[in-house]
Amino acid sequence: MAASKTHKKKPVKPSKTAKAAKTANPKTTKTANPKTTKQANKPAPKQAKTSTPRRSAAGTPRSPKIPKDILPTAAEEARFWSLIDDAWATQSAEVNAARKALATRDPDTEIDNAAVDEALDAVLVGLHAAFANEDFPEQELVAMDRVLERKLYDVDRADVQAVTDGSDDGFLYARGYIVALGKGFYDAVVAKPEIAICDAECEQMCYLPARVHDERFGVYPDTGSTISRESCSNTAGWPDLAGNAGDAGDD
Amino acid sequence: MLDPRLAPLIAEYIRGGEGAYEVLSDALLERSIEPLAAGDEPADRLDRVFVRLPVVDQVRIGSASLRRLVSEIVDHRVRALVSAALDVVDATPAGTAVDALRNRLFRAWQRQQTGPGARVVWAAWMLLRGLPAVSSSTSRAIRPGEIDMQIALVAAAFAR
Repeated sequence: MAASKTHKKKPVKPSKTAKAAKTANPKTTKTANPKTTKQANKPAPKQAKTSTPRRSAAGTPRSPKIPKDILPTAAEEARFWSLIDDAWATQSAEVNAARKALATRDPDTEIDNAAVDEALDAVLVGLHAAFANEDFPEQELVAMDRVLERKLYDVDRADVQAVTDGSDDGFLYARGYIVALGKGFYDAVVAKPEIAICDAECEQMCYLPARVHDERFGVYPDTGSTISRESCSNTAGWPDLAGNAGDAGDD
Repeated sequence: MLDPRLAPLIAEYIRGGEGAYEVLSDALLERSIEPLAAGDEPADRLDRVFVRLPVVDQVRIGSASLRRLVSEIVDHRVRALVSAALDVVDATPAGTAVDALRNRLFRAWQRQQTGPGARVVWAAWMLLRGLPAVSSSTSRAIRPGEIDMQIALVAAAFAR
């Protein structure tokens, strides 16, 4: 299962110190199987630094001509959500009804996400196959990663973390779960954080297009943005941490 | 109508005819249109013109090119699905019907994933996902000769 609702952790705000201490190299820690999704197996991929020459699969240096501060377009966002929608559409009507019910439920009622969680792996395999297809253009793959990065960033909020729980990477994976369930669930959480689910995580979603980019082109993509998907990067979402804003989004 | 005389100049530019770039650049500048860049392969030049077209024209060209490849699909149900999708695309560029067909196309592609038939389904899916340039590029990958038909359509659309 890609998501879990296993143990109840003591609420802890994501630790920025722990994040800063991480030095894992994505090229050496990458998991061989993209289906592996658990936190215990975290690959901690990082985006290519702009100072690092981009290389093609053949090893030829590419000039980093991507301008900075690129925002996803409305069309790219629509294509991103449609891609996730298509991947979910491969699952049964019951699963999709359960997924929609998660977005529209009363937050005080008991959560039943078992069927959705069970289907999530297959959905991610479908997404991976689409991204990995040779006819899926590199430019579009980068655009999809840029949208994903922005969506993760936008729900990097204390009020969302208060519901999902998870510290540092755990909260990142919780946001991955929110995105993986599609636009309906994502929009519901943005509007009403109580809709989020405690301890439900999907690590694989967080770097899916980036990992496929690395698999296909030998480098993690530069999305051209100045934001980071790591927890606590969105200082606007963490007003209590405003004094520590200086080191956000630096990796 | 812009100027139908531009169509052969565009086609010659994409094909890489000698001096075609200079002639086209002059013709475009005379009409206060930003010239196209030189160089690269015909497919790159085709894409360059393609993205200058209104999306509705891009979709129409992608659909027309794909229709010629539908026979590559062995499974008759999938063939019917793709044909239905192209009918809807030609009639209505957006809407819930397109969403439902898009879902079904992705499912059909997932079941195949390899071979020219799968690529046709993929190209139809890309068309419905709002990426007609990718769809057209895939059509050319399936059958390289498609580039001639696409050049003619793109040049005519650009000159309209």
